[in-house]
Amino acid sequence: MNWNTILFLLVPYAVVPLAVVASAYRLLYRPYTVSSLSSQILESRKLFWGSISFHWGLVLVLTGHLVALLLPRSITLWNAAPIRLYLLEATGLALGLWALAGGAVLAWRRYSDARVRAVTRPADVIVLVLLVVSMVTGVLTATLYSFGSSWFTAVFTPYLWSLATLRPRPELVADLPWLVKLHAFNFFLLAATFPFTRLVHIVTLPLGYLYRPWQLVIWARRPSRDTGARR
Amino acid sequence: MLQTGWKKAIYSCSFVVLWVSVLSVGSGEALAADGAAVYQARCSACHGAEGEGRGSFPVLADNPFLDDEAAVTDVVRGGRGAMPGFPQLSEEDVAALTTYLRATWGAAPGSGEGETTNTTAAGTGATGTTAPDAEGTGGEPLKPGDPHNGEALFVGATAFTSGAPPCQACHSAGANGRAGGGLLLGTDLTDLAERAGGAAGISGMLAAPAFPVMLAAYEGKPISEQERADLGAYFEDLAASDTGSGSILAGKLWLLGAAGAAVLFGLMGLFWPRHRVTAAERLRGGAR
Repeated sequence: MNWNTILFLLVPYAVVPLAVVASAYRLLYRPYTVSSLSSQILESRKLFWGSISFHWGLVLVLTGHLVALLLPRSITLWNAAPIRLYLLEATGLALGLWALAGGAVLAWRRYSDARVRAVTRPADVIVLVLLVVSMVTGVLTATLYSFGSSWFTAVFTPYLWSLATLRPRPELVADLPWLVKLHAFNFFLLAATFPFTRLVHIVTLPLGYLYRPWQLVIWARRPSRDTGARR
Repeated sequence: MLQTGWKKAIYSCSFVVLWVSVLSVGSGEALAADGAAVYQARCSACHGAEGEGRGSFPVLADNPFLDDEAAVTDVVRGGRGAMPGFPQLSEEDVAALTTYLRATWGAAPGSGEGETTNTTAAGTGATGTTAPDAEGTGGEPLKPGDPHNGEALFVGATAFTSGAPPCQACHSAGANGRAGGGLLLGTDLTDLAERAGGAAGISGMLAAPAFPVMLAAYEGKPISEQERADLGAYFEDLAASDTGSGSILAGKLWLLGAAGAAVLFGLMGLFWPRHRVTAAERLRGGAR
């Protein structure tokens, strides 16, 4: 049992079931605590620049990770031509920097705005620190150890599948630089904090809207002169 | 309510830490180091299963260098010339490997002064034009390789039949993989043919790649003999074409990324709706 086995085999197998079970418990038995704990009502100007860039940057970068995990061959083929490889790498870095800048704005807002600070709890600080670590190590990995989009499919795709199929091969990540390992391990820490913090609001993504029956809204009142005609 | 959740988080984390520590205490014997196994896994691809050497990788059999235990440990840890270091090997592994090397091929302790073999020259002469294979039987004539197919394999345009990842994921060579800027996970391979002793040496190295990240990534995904020959031909052409490895344009990727992020912020500022008009604002606007 070495450190690599502990960090990249035991920890994921401990935190992922914990995250799933505790999130399910919270959704079922404490549904009204599932919240993003929005502080928009207290401060909205900095929130605009921080929140939008942070959320969209992160969602798109995470989608990239997911594509590399589920369709690794598509990434390999795309990267076969140098110009396409550089385009993908630069796009990923731009999105990562966009998210990181947004995260920095959010951290600054939480520190500098007295009203936001008043509602800040330790868990919020922990989540923010973990997210910033994730983004900083991600951006550094992308620039110091090129070309992440390609070697992810050689190292992390088989590693994550080995965990998912219960045939763990933690040795796949053993020889990677510590910065890359920190980036990966930090994700497990985020998973561990997921059900107990505001991160849990991710499960409230209203995917149901994509397939629910459409509704026709008919207003049973006469058009108002002041607010303009509405239906 | 969330305070309760926070307490639970602390309890759960403590539980996980406790569990991990209990599990990790009882399993210290798992690392029973086996020098021969370490050698086969990490060293034999380049130095040969019988220590016979390949390309510019020296012969280990009866090599007087092995007499200096400290020097051997240093080279295993830090690398030397074309050989990468293996800092990820544990103390026990390195000690077992050093003991194995000295016991198998080294002279008896204290009797090595008389030998003066030039290790590099011996290594180069040992392989000649034959392609050593994974099993270490050697002596097989090298298949002619197709450099174009080799390049396609390098960049990933043609996939390895075993599903092994393309070289360009971590390495650059010639013009391939250089314009992105920054460093690479692997080393630049433009002059690999010179460092590894030509196509034969490259083919031997790739029969069982033992380099840090490659070892695990290529496990169970062998590169076929024809593919190794093609890659060897590509690297030989590359070394002969005198493109030079050049310097990677550090900062280009940073510049593109920063510019991209700035454009995204600009678009956001120009086009993203700031906030919805609230009912109160509508009423105030209508009252005017």
